[in-house]
Amino acid sequence: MQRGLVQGNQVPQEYEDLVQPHVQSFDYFLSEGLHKVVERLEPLEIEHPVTKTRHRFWFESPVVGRPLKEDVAAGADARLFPRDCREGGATYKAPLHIDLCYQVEGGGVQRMNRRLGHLPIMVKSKGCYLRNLSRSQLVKYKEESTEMGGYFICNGIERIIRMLILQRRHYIMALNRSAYRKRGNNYTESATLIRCVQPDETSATVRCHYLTDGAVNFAFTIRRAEYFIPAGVLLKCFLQVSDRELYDKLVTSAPQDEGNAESSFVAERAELLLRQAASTALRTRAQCIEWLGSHFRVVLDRPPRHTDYQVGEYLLANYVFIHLEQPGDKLGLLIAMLHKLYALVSGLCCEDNPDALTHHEILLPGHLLQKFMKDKLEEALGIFKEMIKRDLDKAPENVNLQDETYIKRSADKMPDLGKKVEYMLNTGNLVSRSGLDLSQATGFTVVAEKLNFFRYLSHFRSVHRGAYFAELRTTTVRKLLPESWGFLCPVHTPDGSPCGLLNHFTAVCKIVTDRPENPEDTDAAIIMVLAAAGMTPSSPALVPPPPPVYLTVMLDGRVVGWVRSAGAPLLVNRLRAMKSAKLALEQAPPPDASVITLEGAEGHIPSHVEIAYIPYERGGVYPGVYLFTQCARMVRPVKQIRSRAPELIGSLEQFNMSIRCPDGGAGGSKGLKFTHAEFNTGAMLSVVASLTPWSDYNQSPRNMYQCQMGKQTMGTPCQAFPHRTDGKMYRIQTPQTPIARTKRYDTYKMDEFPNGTNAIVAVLAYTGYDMEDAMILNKSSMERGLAHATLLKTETIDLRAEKGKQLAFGSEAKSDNPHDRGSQDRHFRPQGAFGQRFPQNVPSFGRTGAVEKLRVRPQGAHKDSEQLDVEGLPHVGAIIWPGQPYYNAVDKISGRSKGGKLKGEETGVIDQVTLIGSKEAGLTQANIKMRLNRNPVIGDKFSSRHGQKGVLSQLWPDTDMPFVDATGMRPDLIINPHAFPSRMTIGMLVESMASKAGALAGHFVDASPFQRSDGKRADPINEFGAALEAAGFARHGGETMISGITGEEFAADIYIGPVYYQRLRHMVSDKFQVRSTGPVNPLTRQPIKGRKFGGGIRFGEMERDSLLAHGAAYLLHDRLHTCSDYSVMEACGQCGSLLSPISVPQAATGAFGAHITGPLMEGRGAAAPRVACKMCKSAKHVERVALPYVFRYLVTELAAMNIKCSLTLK
Amino acid sequence: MASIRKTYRRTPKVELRSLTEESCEFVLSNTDVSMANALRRVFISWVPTIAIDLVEITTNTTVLNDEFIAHRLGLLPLVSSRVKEMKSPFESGEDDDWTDVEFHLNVKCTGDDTMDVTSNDIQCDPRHPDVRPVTDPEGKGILIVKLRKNQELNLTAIARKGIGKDHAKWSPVATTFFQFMPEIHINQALMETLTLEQKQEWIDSSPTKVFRLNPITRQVEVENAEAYMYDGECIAKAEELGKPGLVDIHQRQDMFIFKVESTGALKPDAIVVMGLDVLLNKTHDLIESLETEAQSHAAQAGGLDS
Repeated sequence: MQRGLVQGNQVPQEYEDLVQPHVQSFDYFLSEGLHKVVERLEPLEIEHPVTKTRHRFWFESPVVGRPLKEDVAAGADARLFPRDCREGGATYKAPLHIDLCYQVEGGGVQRMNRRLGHLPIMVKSKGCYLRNLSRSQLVKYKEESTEMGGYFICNGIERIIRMLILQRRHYIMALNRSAYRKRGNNYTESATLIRCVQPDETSATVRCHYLTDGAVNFAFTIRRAEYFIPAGVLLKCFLQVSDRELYDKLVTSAPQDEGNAESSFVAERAELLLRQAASTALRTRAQCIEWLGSHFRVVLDRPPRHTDYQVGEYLLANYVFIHLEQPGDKLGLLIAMLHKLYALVSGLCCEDNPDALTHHEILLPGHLLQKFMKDKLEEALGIFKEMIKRDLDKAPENVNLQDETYIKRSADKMPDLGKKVEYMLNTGNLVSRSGLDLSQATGFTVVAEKLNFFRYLSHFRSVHRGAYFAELRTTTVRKLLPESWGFLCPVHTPDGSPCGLLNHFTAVCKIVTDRPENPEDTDAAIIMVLAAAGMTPSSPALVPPPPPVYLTVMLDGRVVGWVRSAGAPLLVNRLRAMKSAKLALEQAPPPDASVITLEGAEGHIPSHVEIAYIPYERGGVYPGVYLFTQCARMVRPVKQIRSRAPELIGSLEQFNMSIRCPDGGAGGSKGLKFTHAEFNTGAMLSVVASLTPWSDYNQSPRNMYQCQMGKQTMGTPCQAFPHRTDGKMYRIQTPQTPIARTKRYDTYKMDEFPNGTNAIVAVLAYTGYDMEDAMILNKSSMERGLAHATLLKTETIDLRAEKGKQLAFGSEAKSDNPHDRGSQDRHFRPQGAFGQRFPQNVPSFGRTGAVEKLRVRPQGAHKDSEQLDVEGLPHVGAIIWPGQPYYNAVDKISGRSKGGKLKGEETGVIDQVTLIGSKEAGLTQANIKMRLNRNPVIGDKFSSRHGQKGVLSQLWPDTDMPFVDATGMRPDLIINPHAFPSRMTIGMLVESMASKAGALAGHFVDASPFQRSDGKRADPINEFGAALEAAGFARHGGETMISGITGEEFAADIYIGPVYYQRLRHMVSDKFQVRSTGPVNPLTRQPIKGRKFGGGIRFGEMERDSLLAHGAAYLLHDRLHTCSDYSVMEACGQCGSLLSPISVPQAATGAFGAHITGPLMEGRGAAAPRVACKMCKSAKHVERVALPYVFRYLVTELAAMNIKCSLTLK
Repeated sequence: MASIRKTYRRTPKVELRSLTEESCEFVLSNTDVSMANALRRVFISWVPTIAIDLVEITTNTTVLNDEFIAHRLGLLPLVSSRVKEMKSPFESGEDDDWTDVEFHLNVKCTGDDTMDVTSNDIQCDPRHPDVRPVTDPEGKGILIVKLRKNQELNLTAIARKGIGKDHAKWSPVATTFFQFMPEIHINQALMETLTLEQKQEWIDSSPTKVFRLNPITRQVEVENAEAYMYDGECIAKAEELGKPGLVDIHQRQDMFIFKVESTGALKPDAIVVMGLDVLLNKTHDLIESLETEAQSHAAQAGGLDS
């Protein structure tokens, strides 16, 4: 049994866990999210101007169906499967139906079912047919047997919604930003802010700004515009409370008993705040709300019949603390924000770092769609409203708002929501008026490239910081902060511009995708447990006790009570015990774990609840106990030391926990009591990073490089090759499983998608062809199959795309012309641009009797029968040379045929032809897959798994390679020892030794990093040294070698052993660019650029400078003139013009307005002149000169501007 | 000139140690490194064999693609005992020259189980039945491709004569290499200064069994000099014990242990004999061209004089 292969008939849980944030969040969107959006959508109200009746319109009960085929014969299977979409270039989508309800005031509700287009469906989500299929069933549906889903299929291309980092919801953050000063006069840099999220994922960020005079302004956003109101007014808007009460609530934030500076600081400011309201003569709650309403009536676009009070209430409900419904809760939160603001300003607490993962959450695909759908449904209602409004304005008497046909007609104008979602997925552009409280409008989706499995899975694990940060000059956001530990991989981030912004989740990190099913029950259960554990529940009338003694307890951005500081740890521990007990119910805990039993309502506490306990520390992070039950949080399992059971912790929670690392020792501070422990050392690494063998022995940047190169490796991208239509796909022919592999290699069943070859690598400087990261490959090994590969190119031909023609695949009749070599001469071989004949791999001597006789050739009466069949499609297995046709289509109208000819300089073999469509509808679409040879050639790129890349510089035959004296073994590959000292990739040396020992003993070697920390007393050098010695080899991997060229022994022992090598996708065949002559720009006659068009590489200024500096005049002349726009032209020596000389016959006809006769024939020399100057009317002084053609062009252009340019000929 | 030749003329000796179907081992002595290495290189890349070179595929519905199967077929070792009668396409001049051997492979899987297509399924050329894929003792054949139900492979393959220099598939040897004969002298006088434990410790320091302790004489003896791998462990050990010069190890530059492992295409002895032939012919060619060169030079020089 091979450990790295999938066992059983189920898709491995490990794979499904990788895409968990995608699939689960989309499931949530389908099952709940969409309903929540529709429920919370504001109904449309229209008053009929004639009848004066009020009508309400709203949506209800959205239903997403199953993906179905459009045109299907009755009785046939109408189900649309993902493979149909991939092969047919279609979108995997299902119809979205929704009820449009309408009601006249006082009347009954009428409803009308409408289809709002087709919604793209995520593969393997609840809406997909592949959900819960076994591996054999998946294979039956022409899928990958390990299909894990998580992506959408848009026009045949697999795209995923990228996860983005957002600010953590429902947590008050204290910030000092210089930008806040620009908000207006008196504004300081200090503010507290909170991001509030409604159940339908609509979010709104609000802020409390501190002003220089000690007052506070509250900021919120309406349709991307920011508005400020005095916090004092807002304080009074929520409850009918006296100023005294508010004052008491405010001043408790500072320790009162001491009577110290902070206490008076807050007291002064609280007074000021309350005066703010009083100064505007606003005393009661109603006055305050009316004041708000009168100011925001226009902005909010409320109907005139609503009173100011109603508008004010509307504002409070929809723009201020939108996650809370009770005014008392809102007041509590505002006071908490003010407390934190005062603490920040007075220096009692420090500011929060907005770049730290503690204050982050994830924008999940399902949530993005949810927000997007809300926006678009609102838009649809808006358009519907506009339609009715227009009709009402035009002829109100004709409009019957209860007439079904009228409503239907107006509703038909609603946009196709499916198309909008599709556009969003296809382009990644978010078209929205409100901006959805997101910081970017583009880059939401990426293509899930199947270059190899590493790259593919990385797409699902990647998370981007946001496009805004990519342009930022400062590098602070890119920094690796300790807060990311365990959630984001420190190794797996690309080099260059996205470094630190594009991160990858660790393998064990999960995202909470669902809200609690019954939020009320959950909240009640938590509050009950908290109260039982010593929390004083909050009530609007209760004055909160001061913080050092008491800590505020907040649950999802709601102040739920206070707890004595001394009692807080106990409360937190109690809750932790419950949450791990809940986790134990969900998934079996380890056998030695002991968890408590949950009773009654305790069972409602979710296992992923985040309990962030921040103790009081003067000048530290603002204290409190913060609980989070909602979605979009990152969680990961750690071990509770006391119960030995796993517990899911979040990033804010982790920040104040004591978690023991396997090799952490005392954790940096003596006497630190650990409450939790990591399960293993792999916790910090992503999937790809944890596949690097012995990465703990390497210099860290090398591991980052390997994460990059692993994703560029040609490997085994998939197994369902016949059903893939990717434009380009690389595949290695002879993959192997690595001898040295980490534990995660087996966990993630990487043998299903092997990526390289165990090559015998010798480390020596040999022949000089291995200098500067070049490497020598054994030609004979290559000939035996080492690193052989193919490039699979799929060409999709859609005959419907051609407008005005009725194309169908078909063949053309054979030409009768005997000179048509293509069809007559059986041995005609096409010629490439440089005169090379195709195919190049057949010796030119192929005309032996047997070859002639046995040559199996498809013969037919039609043209190009060697490549194409009667239907105009290529034979499978046909070799297509450059310039030969690979399909043919005939226009039914004109009878003319149109063929596709193979471009480029390479010979391809037809691998597969897939026809798309049905017989009835016409088979007008075909996918033609071609194989191109990509066996190693000089210049191809290879790499080990330790960031050691190199270019193949020479293929030495077996005879020239050095061989081991004892066994006669020749290396497959030679690299230079200079690759090691500066890069310090000791892991590679260990791999070589360990693989050698493993190969000799016939078993795989565990190459997991940090083995010693995991309790294995391993010392790979001695362990494998001993194994090598036992097998009769030198202890440290060196061996005596003999030069293959001279036969003499090398003075030093050579380090040799198997190392797993990857072949990278950067290949010479795809990149080489060479030309001597070729296409030119018609205007300047200079060579064009672009490899595709046979153009040249620019020989620019700097290159010119270097040649000048070398004095290489002839080379310079050759490059810039001879090989460029060298042209011979005539110039008149007398008038100096380049343009006036014209040919004599032209002159004779009088063309160009000049008529030259007689005297011009007195030329020099015997022959009559060909060219004469039309200005001088003579051929006497006309000389032929060689000039760049572009100069002539310049002279012409100048002439067009009335500038004469004359040459002096010498 | 003649005198120089005389000085360097040697009479190399070959002492055959073992010879099996697959491999042979002999000691080549009284010559030098260049000769040994030249032989090694000739065995690998100049001794001709027969290998499949052209493949015409009629039907291929297997999981492997055409080129891949063709490549695998090319690597099958074919019994090449009659290779001398053959001509490679590059040598052939006459029409009746024998250049091609034709093979057919026509298999289809009809059962529900996976079917292995091996070298045993290849139909040999009736005209040359003795050119056939090499067989292993168990007769399992070499796996080419595996078929599932209804998959089919139908092809014609043409084998030609060739040499390893052109492509590794024509190389007759799996591996061939030589070792320098080690010469080990133990300084018995110095050795006697060691205690018995130290002697044993010193003997054990060598990863391979080179030395032994004579239980009767209590002297260290060389058991198997050839097992020595030039690892230097025992020299290092001697220095560690404070007795440098305990042992003196040399490589003999005129004596080589030669090993030839065949792929099965040719018998190992045939490889050696054919290799020697090739080398001889090459030498003759060299002498011949040297002489022509010398003559033309002389002619030119004469021309200049006159």
